[in-house]
Amino acid sequence: MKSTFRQSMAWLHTWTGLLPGWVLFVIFLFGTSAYYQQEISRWMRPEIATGAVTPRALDAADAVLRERGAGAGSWTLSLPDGRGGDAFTVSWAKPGDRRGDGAEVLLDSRTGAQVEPRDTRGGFFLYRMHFDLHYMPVMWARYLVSIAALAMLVAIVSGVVTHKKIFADFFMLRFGKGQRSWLDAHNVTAVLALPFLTMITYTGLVTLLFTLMPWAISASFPSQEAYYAAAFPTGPEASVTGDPAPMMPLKDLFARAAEARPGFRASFVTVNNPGDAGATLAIYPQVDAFGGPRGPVNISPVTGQLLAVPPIPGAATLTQSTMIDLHAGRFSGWELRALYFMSGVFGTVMVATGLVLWTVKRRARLPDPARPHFGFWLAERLNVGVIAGTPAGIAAYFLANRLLPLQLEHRADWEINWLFIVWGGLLAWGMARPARRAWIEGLASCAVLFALVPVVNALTTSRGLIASLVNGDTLFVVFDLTMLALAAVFAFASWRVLTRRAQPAPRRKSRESSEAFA
Amino acid sequence: MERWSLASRVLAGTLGAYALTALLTAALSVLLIQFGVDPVEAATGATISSFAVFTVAAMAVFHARSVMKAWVWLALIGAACGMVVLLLGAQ
Repeated sequence: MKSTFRQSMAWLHTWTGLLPGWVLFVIFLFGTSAYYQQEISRWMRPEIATGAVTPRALDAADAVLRERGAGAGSWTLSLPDGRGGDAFTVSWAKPGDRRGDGAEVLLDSRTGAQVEPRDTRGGFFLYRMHFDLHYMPVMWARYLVSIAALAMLVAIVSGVVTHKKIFADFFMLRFGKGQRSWLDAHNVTAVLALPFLTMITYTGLVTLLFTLMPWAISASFPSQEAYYAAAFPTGPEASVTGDPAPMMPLKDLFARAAEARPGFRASFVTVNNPGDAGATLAIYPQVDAFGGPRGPVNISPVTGQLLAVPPIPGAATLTQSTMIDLHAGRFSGWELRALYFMSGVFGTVMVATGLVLWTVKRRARLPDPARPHFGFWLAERLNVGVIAGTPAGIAAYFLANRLLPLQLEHRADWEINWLFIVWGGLLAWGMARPARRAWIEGLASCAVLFALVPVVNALTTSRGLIASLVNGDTLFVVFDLTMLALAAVFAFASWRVLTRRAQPAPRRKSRESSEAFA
Repeated sequence: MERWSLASRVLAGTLGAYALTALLTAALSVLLIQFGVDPVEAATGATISSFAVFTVAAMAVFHARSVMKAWVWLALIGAACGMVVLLLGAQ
């Protein structure tokens, strides 16, 4: 279409970047926070202790299930890992009930004592938001997210082609030069994090593998069900014999699983027909081992015998699970996790600067900058509402966690509603105000909301910044300081927009590379 | 005229490239099964590579000298893959 390969790819880069850009910003922002979802959950549930499940707590869970779950059709146990944030949850359901219909008890993962943390979805919601979005059917959200990710992949590859002097510009970051600075910032964040961005986009598509591309299954299997039956064989069928039979202690059954698979640590357990001779038990492993197995160990809880060993994955299945591990980074220690987080921040900033660059470049060429055409107006206002509004919403989510009454009905839902009320409010504000004012006020709102988080935390819990420093509570100290750092960044950004003079339109052909992004 | 050409190209580079990728992925999967690869492995492997296929297809369409030529290539490769799926695919 355009004369050279670089020109046609520059055009492609612009549009595959802009159109899904706002969705990509949301995915990157929430996805980046998800690297610390357990830590965020720990902050949002200050009532519960942190630590892997102890033998003592496991015995307590066993006792609760035998006493209160007697005669149930199934039992489930959900065990937090060492990073914490979730309570040790046991539940039971009557025969015929679906999972989650029955009763549920939350236990302290160290002592096994019953706990009642505040009703919140914690960091888990931020994680789910990055591919399930909210207020819409999950499948629609996943289609939308997959399409945005596929466009991002095209934008990355065409962006690299567009970028002639990729290594020279690696060292090029000029501040205060208007459009040129936005391009520099976009290039530096993109190039520095390029391997990460390519990896995270491709592996992200692989986590939702058959969502957008179910056609290999359609062509190779008689039905979707046939594929899932072959790919994820269920354990042995549980059949009720009617003969009561005592169950071995859970502790001993866990030891059996560890014998069958060395290094095994349980994350989720289901028991079908407990108390019956035909009972079955499936223990799923923690997913924090790189390339580790995902399938459950199936054991008879009556005899302790292994019932089924999951199939050894083939090369393609192993590639898939390895890519998912790379994407989620659950295997990483704190150093690698910090790198993941920083790369995620770079990705978020790359998307944001790309979006701003689109408007900065076009504003200079508008026939009448006071009355832009509708497309430009919409892009500029969406930029304010999404880039400043989404972080403000997350700050409001943290504030709601501390401020909403503990007895409030549907409390967890209201925390989430507050995220969207504040975000939606800034989106509307951004549409109503002149663009420059909207940026200043939107970024300042972010700064104020993030700065309020440590203040409100100190006023509503006994674990404020000073107390946490005294007690050596590293997680709470780091969380509060991160909120203050974010507040400082947004305050600085707001101040820069406030004091900046309007940039003169860049002279055309002044630099060849500024022509790269058409 | 220019406008229609651009619309046609955008259509070819998005839905056209997607349809081509879908057919190529399905054909690759059934071919692998024909060569004795486990069906779950074949479907998974073909689909993992599909996103790279789409990227290349979309970029090729947007760079093609003429949109008509791009459509012809999409149709030819798509038809060949479609034949493979029809002949070897699961009923």
